[in-house]
Amino acid sequence: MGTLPFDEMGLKTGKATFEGGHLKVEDFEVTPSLGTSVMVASACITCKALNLEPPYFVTAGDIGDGKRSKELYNYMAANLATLDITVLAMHYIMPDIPGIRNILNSPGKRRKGMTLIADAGAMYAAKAAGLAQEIDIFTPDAGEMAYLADPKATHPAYVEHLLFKLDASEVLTLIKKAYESGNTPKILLVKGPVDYVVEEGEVVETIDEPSISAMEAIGGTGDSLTGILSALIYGGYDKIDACIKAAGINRIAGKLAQPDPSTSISHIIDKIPDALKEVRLCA
Amino acid sequence: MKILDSIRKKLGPRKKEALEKGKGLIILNEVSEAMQAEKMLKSFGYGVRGVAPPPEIRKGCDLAVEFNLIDQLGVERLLKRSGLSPLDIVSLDTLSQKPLDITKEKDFGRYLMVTAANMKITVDKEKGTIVNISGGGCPDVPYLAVSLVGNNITEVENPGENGYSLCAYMLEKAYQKGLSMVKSQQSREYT
Repeated sequence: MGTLPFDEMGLKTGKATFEGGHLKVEDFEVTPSLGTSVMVASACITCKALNLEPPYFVTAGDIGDGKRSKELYNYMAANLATLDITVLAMHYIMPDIPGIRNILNSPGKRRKGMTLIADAGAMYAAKAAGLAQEIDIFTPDAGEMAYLADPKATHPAYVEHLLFKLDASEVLTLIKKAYESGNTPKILLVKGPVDYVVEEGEVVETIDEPSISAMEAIGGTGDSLTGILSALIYGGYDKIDACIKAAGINRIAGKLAQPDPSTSISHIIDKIPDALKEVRLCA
Repeated sequence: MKILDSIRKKLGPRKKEALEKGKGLIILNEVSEAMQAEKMLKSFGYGVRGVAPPPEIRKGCDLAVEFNLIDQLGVERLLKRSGLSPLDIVSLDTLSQKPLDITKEKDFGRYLMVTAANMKITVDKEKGTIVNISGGGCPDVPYLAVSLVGNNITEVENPGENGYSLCAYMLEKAYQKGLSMVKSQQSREYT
């Protein structure tokens, strides 16, 4: 679930497909670039390679005024209890505290069998609402970790200078602070030069190979990670195992694309099937 | 120009000695309106800045404009003339949180990446081309990225002009830093 950057596009729901470099849902198609389109395209690619059903995509066009973000929040809150959802990945959307609260209040008894992942605007909203612990997994980068570690901040823009200034190598300090303040779900997949998989405040795995420094500059590399992760959990992998595998697969896809900081994310997500083969998740 | 100067003088801020007496907050409907108000008031010489609104009225992605209460009348008049209708104007006892005003830079050789809070912009230092926009979570980030990536940082429209959110606000800060660094790099090359 997440917005696409098109002003005139109303609410669209349905099975998403990714073919010939285009992501399709209902009658709409888009070339993935930074944001929800990359997340969903990466989930489609991973599902296809693993012989899984394609993801169901709930989206609406929003260029930042937040109007259709509200429609998305409302749609999901109204339908979460009836849609057959095992993994819900919430992504680019205008952060809205009442909106995310309504969604998190709505699954009822179905919540038990559901994995909730929040990244981007949905993660900002869940933390700002004080509802991070209602989510299963956040996928922040170092800058977003500073936001989670700052109990007062309601958006990454309001993070304390001292926390923002911390080097990426000091991300463990931020993880500790974030867990202490209760602004995290049970699991974090912290992306960066080193990826950290954290469960209840303890780092259970670090992934730093292959090391492709250019990926930090490429818009969408975090989105592809969230998409791969969502598909792996849907495919039955345990959440922690899926985090570890997704981080590795994303890095390998990056390595195979041989990127520099000007590379487009589309070149990297094209390599996901080869990356899945390299880690022997598919033939 | 003389007419414009006279308008600016009339509508501009009061003398400095009055500035420390108290701060106020202009609460607007949207982040984009707050950005517009901040820019407009600054152009008239007011000492204003974007800050977080009080917690009780926050929605999650909000920006208010802090100003010196002594300037309230002039500020209100300018807002009205610009067609901006604040939801409220309140006084503050203590200073609010303010958005980060610092950036980090990372040198990739040919490319320079500037980070402001959760936003990153990467530029080809020699050509000035914006090669990637990364980070953020608000819906205008992918929208702005489409119009920025592939174009020259010295020629594109400031992302603050078309953005609505705090992510766009931080993208503008990264863009401004990137722009100044590219310009100084280019001027070094010419001399």
